[in-house]
Amino acid sequence: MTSVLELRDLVKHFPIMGSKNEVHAVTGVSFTIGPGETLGLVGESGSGKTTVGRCVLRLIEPTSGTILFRGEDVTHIPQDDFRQYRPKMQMVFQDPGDSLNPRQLAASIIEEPLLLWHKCPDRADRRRRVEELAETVKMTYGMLEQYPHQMSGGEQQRVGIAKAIATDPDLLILDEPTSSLDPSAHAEIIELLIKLQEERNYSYLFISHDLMTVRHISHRVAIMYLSQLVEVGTTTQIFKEPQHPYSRSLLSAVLYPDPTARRPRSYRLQGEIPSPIHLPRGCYLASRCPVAEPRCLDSVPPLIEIGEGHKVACFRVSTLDELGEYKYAVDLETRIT
Amino acid sequence: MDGVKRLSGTLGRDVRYLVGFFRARPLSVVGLVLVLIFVSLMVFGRSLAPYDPEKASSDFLFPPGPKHWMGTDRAGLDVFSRILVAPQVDLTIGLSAAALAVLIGTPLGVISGYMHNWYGSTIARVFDVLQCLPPFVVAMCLVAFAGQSVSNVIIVIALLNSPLFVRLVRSKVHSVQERKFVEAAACLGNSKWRIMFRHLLPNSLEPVLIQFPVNAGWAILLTSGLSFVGAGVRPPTPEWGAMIAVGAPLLVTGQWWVAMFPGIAVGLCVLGLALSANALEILLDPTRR
Amino acid sequence: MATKAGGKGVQGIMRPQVVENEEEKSIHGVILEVRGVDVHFTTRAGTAHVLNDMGFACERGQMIGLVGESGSGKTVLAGVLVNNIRRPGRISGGHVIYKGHDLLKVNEEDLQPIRGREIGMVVAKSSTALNPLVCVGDQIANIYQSHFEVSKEEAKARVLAAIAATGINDPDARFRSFPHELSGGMAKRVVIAAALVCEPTFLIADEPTSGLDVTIQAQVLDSMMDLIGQMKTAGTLLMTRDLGIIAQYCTRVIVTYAGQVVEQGSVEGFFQRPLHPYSKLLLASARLNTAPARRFAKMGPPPDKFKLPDGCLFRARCLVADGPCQSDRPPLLEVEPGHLLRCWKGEALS
Repeated sequence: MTSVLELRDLVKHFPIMGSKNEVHAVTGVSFTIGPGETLGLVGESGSGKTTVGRCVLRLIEPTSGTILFRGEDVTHIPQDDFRQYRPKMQMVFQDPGDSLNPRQLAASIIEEPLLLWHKCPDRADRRRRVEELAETVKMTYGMLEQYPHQMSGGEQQRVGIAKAIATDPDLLILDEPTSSLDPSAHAEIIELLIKLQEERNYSYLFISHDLMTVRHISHRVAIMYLSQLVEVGTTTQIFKEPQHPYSRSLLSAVLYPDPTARRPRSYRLQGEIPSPIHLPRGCYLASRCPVAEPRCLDSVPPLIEIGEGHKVACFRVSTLDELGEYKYAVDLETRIT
Repeated sequence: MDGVKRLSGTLGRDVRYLVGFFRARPLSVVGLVLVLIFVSLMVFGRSLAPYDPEKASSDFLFPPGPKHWMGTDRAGLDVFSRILVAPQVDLTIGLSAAALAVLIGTPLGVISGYMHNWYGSTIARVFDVLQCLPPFVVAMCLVAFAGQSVSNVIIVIALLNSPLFVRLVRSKVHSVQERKFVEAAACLGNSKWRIMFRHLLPNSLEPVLIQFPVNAGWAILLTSGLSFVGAGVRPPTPEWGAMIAVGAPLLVTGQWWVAMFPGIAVGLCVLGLALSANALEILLDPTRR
Repeated sequence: MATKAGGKGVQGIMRPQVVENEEEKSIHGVILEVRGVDVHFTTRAGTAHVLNDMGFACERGQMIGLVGESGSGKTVLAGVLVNNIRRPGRISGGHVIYKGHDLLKVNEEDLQPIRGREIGMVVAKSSTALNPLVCVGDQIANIYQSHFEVSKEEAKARVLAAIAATGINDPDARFRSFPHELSGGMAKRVVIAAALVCEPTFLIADEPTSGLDVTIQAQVLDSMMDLIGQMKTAGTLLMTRDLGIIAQYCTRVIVTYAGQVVEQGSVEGFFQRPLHPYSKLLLASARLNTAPARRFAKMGPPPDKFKLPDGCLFRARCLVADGPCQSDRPPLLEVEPGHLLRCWKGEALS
């Protein structure tokens, strides 16, 4: 079964005007997403996760590496040729208020992809399709005649999703789709996305820093720190047995809505993130890592498979202590592959 | 466009909205009324004028009185009649020149703001240079070259005014294109041209609408200067700017009415246009409903 | 129960003399009480009722988490607590009782020593809270000096100690930094230091960590709680949309909807058994599984502030509402010890 998306050693550097230096946004990221699968791409600000998404969609040009969409290499084909792939890979943006044209009615926004890609030449047909899409994302027909600013954040995001699925894509890239929403709207949108995936077999690249949501929606998880992948695995592997110190510190920072869940207080990172312009010679986390050793400062640890698709980039992986505190008292559901 | 579609589909609701809109904004009603007055003067001015505005008489420099409500000028021409007929020339020139400047400048502004390649910057530079030229001198030369007529004056003034709109739109486009919906449009597969004219342009019109009436006023004043040196409208065609130019030196000698009344007329006209443009800008902005 | 605000001592914090007087030892240890506050905003479009009969009490030692989604009136409430609501907003009724005085009746000059000194506020947007032209150390020192008669050096030392106590590594360098030079996490810590430098009795934190990265958020909250513990702040009101923060840091929770308190109780009790249909929906949403709450409440917009409905403000979204809910607004009643609920169906739900 061909994967829907495969990245091999994707690299993106941004040149800085007036300087020979570059901002290293993405350094050597590789992963695969199969049909109907969700990969959660996790990282904090500056990790490069959003840049990965934008490279896949060729909204920015990758510096090097390979992007395979359904087995075809789309990394460097000219924009005009890439355009034919766009109906098959769409994006849902973070701030729905800003990502919708304020002067377009919701109906027109949802209709636009149909027009662009000649999906329904007949106007009445198009209208019906727009209404179908609205129903799918649980919008009322009345909302179709509104402008974005007249809707709540959750409703706006529904419009964004309807627009993205109008051309029945294979891959949806979701860039923090719910971080600006209220908790109740957030939950509804995530439930909608899961339902859509189950019904239509969409693949998702779910980019987020919200670990609880990632855990809920993803089959596999990839964690990025400062432009690199530090750990990849199934959701169960990452959340129950995180190996990388950064993964552990991320997980220990999650605030579960349950006062009885104890938070482990070890694996705290000290200091501040190094600059993405002058990356350290060794492991990028070494300056802040509580368990760093001298060899961590000398060379970058490679991403090694430690078992069944679980990969970690850390020299200390086999010698880290028992997990102990990482087993939370409360066992929340995860999505089993 | 969506605005029109919406209006026809929800007429009752929109009429009620308009009524509420004007009730809440009395100044925009003032603007609308002023514009209507001047526009009707364009049509009816000549028939309402008590005297022939172009026929000289022997009543030189009469102050405002029962025979001549706004007095007369040096040639005995009745100021009031001339003011009534002037909109025919002034509004035509002012509005047409400003509108033409908008039509030229706006699309070029969008292109030069969005296309970050050589022709985007070339457009910007060309218009920057145009804007540096002394408008009055250039206008004189161009009219002298092309011939003195109303349409030539309009074209010349429009050309001189368009760099302003190019610059306004260009800078607005610079900021609008940073917004996520533009990236979303690209992601959807919109071509560059569709992005420019379907997404960027409608969201960049705000400064244009606000600048338009001011520009029309400036066009009227530029015409007056041109008329004064004989490159604009030929005397004795009534034209506010020319009347002000002729009456200005008379202010010192005490015959204030020759320049004052046309001055007030220009002011009121531009005010009406400005208030209306303001209201129009709010009306056309869906986010303010 | 693990300590929520344990104190690690930090050397060198000098505390100015606080004069203990009778008013501090209030009845039932209540430091701040809000009673029946109504706030409306008069606009061209009509009158918007933003807060409706808002009321709660904070006792000594409590860390109250106030949860409210957009439209609940949280930020306006913060303004009310320091009597800082300006036109077109108006506080049309109610009391804010602090140390025996109703802050809504006190005049402006008498309020100055309370704002910042006794009631501190961590504002939501640190970018707007800090003056971009002045280095942050001087800004905090100005706040301190406006409340205490101390020399410049003493103020600076105090500020450095406060900055260090928020977990910032190089307080001297940060003192001289300008706001735009600080990362998000540091800017938030500076704002927290500014709020706590005068050792206020009561602290209001409005979305103190919104927009911060996960690990930074945890660090900042931990530092804030440590600092609160050290400075012996008597009560804190933490306003947020994130139930996770409330679960991990607060002792009591208040749920607000449409400018009213709909439920109030201890954190343990609430998370185990929320009573109000809206609370059930909120908690289910936080757990990303709304199914169990779906038979009590549905999604929808908050009521139109310009035209509040009769009866319960939640009835449009409530699936268990009936007769009395349509016509009368339910009062906030104590259904169990320490657990308040504003719902006619109280007995049925508990």
